[in-house]
Amino acid sequence: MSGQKATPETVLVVEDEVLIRMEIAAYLRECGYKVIEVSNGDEALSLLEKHALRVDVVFSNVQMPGNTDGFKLSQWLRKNRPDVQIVLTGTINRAATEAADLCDESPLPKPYDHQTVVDRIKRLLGAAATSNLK
Amino acid sequence: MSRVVSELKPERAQPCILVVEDELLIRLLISQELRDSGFRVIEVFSADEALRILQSGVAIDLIFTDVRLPGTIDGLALMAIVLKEFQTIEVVVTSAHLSADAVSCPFFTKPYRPIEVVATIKQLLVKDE
Repeated sequence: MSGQKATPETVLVVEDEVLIRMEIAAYLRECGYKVIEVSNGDEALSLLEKHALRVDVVFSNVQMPGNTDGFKLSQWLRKNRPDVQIVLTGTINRAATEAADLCDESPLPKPYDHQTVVDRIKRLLGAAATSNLK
Repeated sequence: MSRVVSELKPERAQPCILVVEDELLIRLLISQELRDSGFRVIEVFSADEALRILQSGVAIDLIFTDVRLPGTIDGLALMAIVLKEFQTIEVVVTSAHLSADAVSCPFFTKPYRPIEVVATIKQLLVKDE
């Protein structure tokens, strides 16, 4: 993450499997990010719509219970919060093709390495910062 | 078990609090207060998720749980299970709908002041050392 910023970037982790969520959230905090955890896409959407919390990156599972899967959440973000970077993760094959229009990079297949997630987040935030300077 | 969990287990210098709260903003507030006070915090949204954490073998020192929760069991049922099957774990309960005499653990009526919850948790964990 950027060493120049006074406040850490915030990652919204959207994952219904509690043990997976616990581990990646702990790892991201260890890496210096502020982490907000939600257990499904509906809760993520509610959070983003109703609360003025800063979110820089959404790291979301693709398949989740409820009405909002990772694709729907990404579509909403692209339309309403284009400044937010999106990283999807999942185990299903259609993820790669469907995510192509929504994310800058293909989804991270599960199980993922935690450092790979952090590397992806750093790269996206770095690219966004560079883009904003242009 | 993956790397982070296995790394967290021996790290006993920082007590680990399991916060069980389905209201996002309340959970964020109390979790941040606990982290700022030096605790490790695991956040879950339901008692079912809390049980998943406990059964996974992650070392938990104290559970701070709401009573009314989504899922198959509520906070009181979680409290009963923990007191029976995880006797080394302290339990603190919070609710807007119960009084302190309804539970056999330290209790906070909602809305609570996070700083007071943290103070009680510190006392409970110091007592156990």
